[in-house]
Amino acid sequence: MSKKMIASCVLALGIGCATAAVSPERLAATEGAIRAADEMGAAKVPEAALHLQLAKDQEEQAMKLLNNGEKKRGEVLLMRAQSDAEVAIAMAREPTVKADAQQALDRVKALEEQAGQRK
Amino acid sequence: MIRISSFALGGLSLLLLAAGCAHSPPKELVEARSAYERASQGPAAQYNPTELYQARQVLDHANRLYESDPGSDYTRDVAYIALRKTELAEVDGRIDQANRQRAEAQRRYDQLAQTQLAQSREELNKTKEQLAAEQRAREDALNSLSKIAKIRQDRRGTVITLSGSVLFASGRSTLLPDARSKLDQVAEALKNAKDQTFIVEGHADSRGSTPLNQTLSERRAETVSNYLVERGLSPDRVKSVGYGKSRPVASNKTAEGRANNRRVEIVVQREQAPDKG
Repeated sequence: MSKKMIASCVLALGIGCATAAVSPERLAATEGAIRAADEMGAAKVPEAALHLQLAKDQEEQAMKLLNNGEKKRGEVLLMRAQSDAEVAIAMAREPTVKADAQQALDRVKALEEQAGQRK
Repeated sequence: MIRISSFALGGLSLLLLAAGCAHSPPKELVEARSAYERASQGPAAQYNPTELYQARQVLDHANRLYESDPGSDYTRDVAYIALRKTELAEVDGRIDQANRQRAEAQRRYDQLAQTQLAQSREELNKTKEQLAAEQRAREDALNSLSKIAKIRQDRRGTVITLSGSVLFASGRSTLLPDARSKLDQVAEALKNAKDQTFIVEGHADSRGSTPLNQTLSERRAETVSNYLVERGLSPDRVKSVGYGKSRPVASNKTAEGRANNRRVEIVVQREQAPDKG
């Protein structure tokens, strides 16, 4: 990696220059996100399931690279995996939240109709 | 004519190819840019600006990397993460939007429910007042009869007792002329008891045969019952029955007692409690 690249490497949201060994925190964050996505039921929501699988595949790839000593690439793949897992979590939540909102709107509509009939 | 060697042509092709590759951003960066453009016009911008800003920072980093090192894996990786962070901001924006809609709907529901509850209470109070007024009217009407009849309460309900001698000549079941005006007052008072039923009971003293007293009491009860119906009471709500001498209220050994036993009782039945089945 050139000096220029190192200098321009911004520590934006955990994206840093992976010149050191992968940190336990990085690994834990990725595994934690994947586990959370699993527990949220991401596998049952089609779009979420896609991202969950991407996360798992990339994590597996990352571990192979790390075991081969390719720490920089391995860490970046862990970050990719974590980002996919986070999207999977959000996509797993979305249908339930939307359904709750719709149910609340339906209740209001029913009550408004009832109020209209009383007049 | 200028002759260009094959070697020069090959070199020129390679240069052109390299130039073309260097100016085409990786697909991850193209997708990330497009996703950000889309996200910045959607719910994420309104409901989740912080996450969207964070995605923007990563996208800017990817863009700078592309400028300095367009073909590297790291540039593609950062662009990929920028894409995912943008997508995350979009989904979280939709989630926040839905949560706000739910909260607003709940607020609206609570407001409507409160209004309806207040309306129901008002209606209930009005109904209660109306019922209370009707009850007072009934009581006032019945109390007004006390000048012409005895009024008492027993297990059957309100009992209006009219003396037989006031209504009928001895041994007869035809109403006396003065009896009609008294029964008119009774009918007027009973009209207020809209949902109640009435039983007109004929009673006799112990003089005379049992069959005779039974027949006379039945006919007298029927006469009074028919008259009340003529005066506006619903025939469905008025019944008549004769008890002969079987239910004395006083001793038949005295003239006064026998006079008390010769009577017509109009029972205003107690309102039955609704069947809770």
